[in-house]
Amino acid sequence: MSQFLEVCSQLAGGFVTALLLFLLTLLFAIPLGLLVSFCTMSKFKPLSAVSKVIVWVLRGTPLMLQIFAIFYLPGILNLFVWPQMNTGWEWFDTTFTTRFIAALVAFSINYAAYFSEIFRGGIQSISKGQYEAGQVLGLTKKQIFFKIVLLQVVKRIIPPMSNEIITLIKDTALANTIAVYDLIYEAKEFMTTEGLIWPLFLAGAFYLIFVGLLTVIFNKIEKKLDYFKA
Amino acid sequence: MKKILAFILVAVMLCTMFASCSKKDSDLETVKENEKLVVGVTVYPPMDYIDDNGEWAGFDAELAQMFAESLGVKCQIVIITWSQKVAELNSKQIDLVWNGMTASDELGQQIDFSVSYAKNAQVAVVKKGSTLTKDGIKDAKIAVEGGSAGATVAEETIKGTKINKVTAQTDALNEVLAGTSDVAIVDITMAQNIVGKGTFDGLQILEGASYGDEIFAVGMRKGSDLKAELDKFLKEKYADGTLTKLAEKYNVGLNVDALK
Repeated sequence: MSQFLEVCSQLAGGFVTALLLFLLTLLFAIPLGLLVSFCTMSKFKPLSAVSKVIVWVLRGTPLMLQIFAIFYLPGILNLFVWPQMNTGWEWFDTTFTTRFIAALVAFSINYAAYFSEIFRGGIQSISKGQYEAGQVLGLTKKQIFFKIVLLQVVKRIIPPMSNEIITLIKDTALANTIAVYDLIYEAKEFMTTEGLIWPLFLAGAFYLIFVGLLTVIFNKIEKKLDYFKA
Repeated sequence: MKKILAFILVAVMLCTMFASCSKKDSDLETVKENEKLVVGVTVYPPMDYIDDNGEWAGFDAELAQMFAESLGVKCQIVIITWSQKVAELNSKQIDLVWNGMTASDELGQQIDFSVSYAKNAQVAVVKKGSTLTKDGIKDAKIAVEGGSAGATVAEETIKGTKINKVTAQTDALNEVLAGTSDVAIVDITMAQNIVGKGTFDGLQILEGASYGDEIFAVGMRKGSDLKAELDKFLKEKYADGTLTKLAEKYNVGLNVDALK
């Protein structure tokens, strides 16, 4: 029993790391994705071309490879070494290691690429008539986007976004390829040191419960936005 | 105006980022300047592991801490992914790999080694009650850790026909346990520590199937000036008996010839 508790507390620590990676990735990837989607839709051809190529590369190569590249390449090419946090606050320094930050950058960029295409789809699905109606009413472009388009877009992109977000929590396990101590990493640790396999399956239960929670939340959000029948 | 401002901001940010990293050629100077020696390990008892108090313990961990102390700097032990040890060194994430590393010729082309301090061998691990013999391993399903010394033994010494490369030595043992492989080739140091215990209770080391005379060494970047310091340190610690005491404590076979 005491062993079970020990495994649980160890896994919980890994889960916190995975959760932080998950939340911070969302925090950075959503605005970044919106920015990229605007760039892709820009009428200024060079900008849209460049951002299309970037999205192509990010969606076209494995995330694991991108994590590798972002963590190792700067040092190998003698550009810079990922800085070590040194605030003196131990929890902060041991959680946000160089590895964690490199993984966070990789995840944010990668997911921004996926999100940008979802946002683009959502924005372009709003009929032109609504923009024209807004113009007739004398609204500025900014007002049309934020007051008329955006809320409808939010409703439409909830299902594809929930898909990506659920994938993201499981993708955080890729961070352990550069030795970020995530949930799977901690579970595997028991295999190496004590020869236990079951913590790995217990880790699976952590993900399952969290994804269940996310599913409930997204269903609630969808219901909340139901009055917006288009 | 806004655009110009944004551009300048980005340029300044990039400059500070690049400027903040020193590009010294001397590892020794960099280590002393940062006041810490970063050592890459994996959890690999009895060489490197975390004890009940949450502190690093093990033959290599203790030695690494002593070496850092002799340089007058802190020792920071970080866990790395074993297959990426060369990338970790070259990208300057770590200064040394000190983790019961087998000094092979192939690896020697990419990184430098210290003087060898211990000896190792590879053994075959099978299920308890398995009828497999040493001669039969060649045609059996062999599980090894990709990029490990065991993988080299399986390919070059045993010339196995069915080799499964997995990502960790423990995964190789799991393969045998699950029956997806017949035999695993792993380090004797790790096998003695883990086989027959816990989940690996159902496994045993195959008698008489031991391969290779391997030597353990500390790894560093090509041309690193830490080598001179490290070699001197290891030889001194052997001469004053510290290494012998540590070897007894952790049941490690010293490479006495190289340390003299």
